[in-house]
Amino acid sequence: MSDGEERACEGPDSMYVKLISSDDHEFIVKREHALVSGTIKAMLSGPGQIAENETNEIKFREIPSHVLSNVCEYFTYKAQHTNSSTEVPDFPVSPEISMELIIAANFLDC
Amino acid sequence: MDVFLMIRRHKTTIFTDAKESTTVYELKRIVEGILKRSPEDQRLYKDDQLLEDSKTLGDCGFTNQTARPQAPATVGLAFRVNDEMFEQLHVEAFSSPPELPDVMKPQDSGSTANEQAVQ
Repeated sequence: MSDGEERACEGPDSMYVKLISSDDHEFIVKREHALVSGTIKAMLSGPGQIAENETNEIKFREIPSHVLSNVCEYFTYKAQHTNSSTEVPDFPVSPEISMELIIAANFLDC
Repeated sequence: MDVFLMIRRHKTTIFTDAKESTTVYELKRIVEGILKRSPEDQRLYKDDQLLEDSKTLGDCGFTNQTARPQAPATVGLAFRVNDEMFEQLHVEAFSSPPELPDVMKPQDSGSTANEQAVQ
């Protein structure tokens, strides 16, 4: 039954990747969404066998879950509206997290 | 129309999208592909309301308006514990953001940061 099933989070061709926040929350997003971030893209597809390339899991020791959840929402938002001709709604950012979000965005190159 | 969801259980959050016409059972299949638990071992919830397999996401109240990419709707997930029981629905909250520093708090315009020590 499940012999030919694609293993979702394993192997370089998996469709989803797992991003882990500093407080151990696991965020599973589509691989193509995560590649919006230049840093994640480099970690997952760079030459050589980096550990992240094998397991498709990346641990972010500095990014807490309330920031990483916004980052994941941004990935979906960007993927949805890139090359879209419809009106693009604003992406909401609350002031409490804006500082940390800027730091994370800088690190993630997105 | 596309609906954007966060499927959450304990400390795991899955960001995925689906159609309003996708059924709850098909969503469980997506979860199966990621977390390796069969649909029979899953229960999906909207707030505290258990969702039936045959209903579509639109029927359950997930629409293009309530489930947008920058603000996805939350779906609770609980796994089967044994033949008779499912675990309680439990979702770990995200961390809290730190308190805003004073300079960023909304203030009346015109106030400056000048402080004069009064001795």
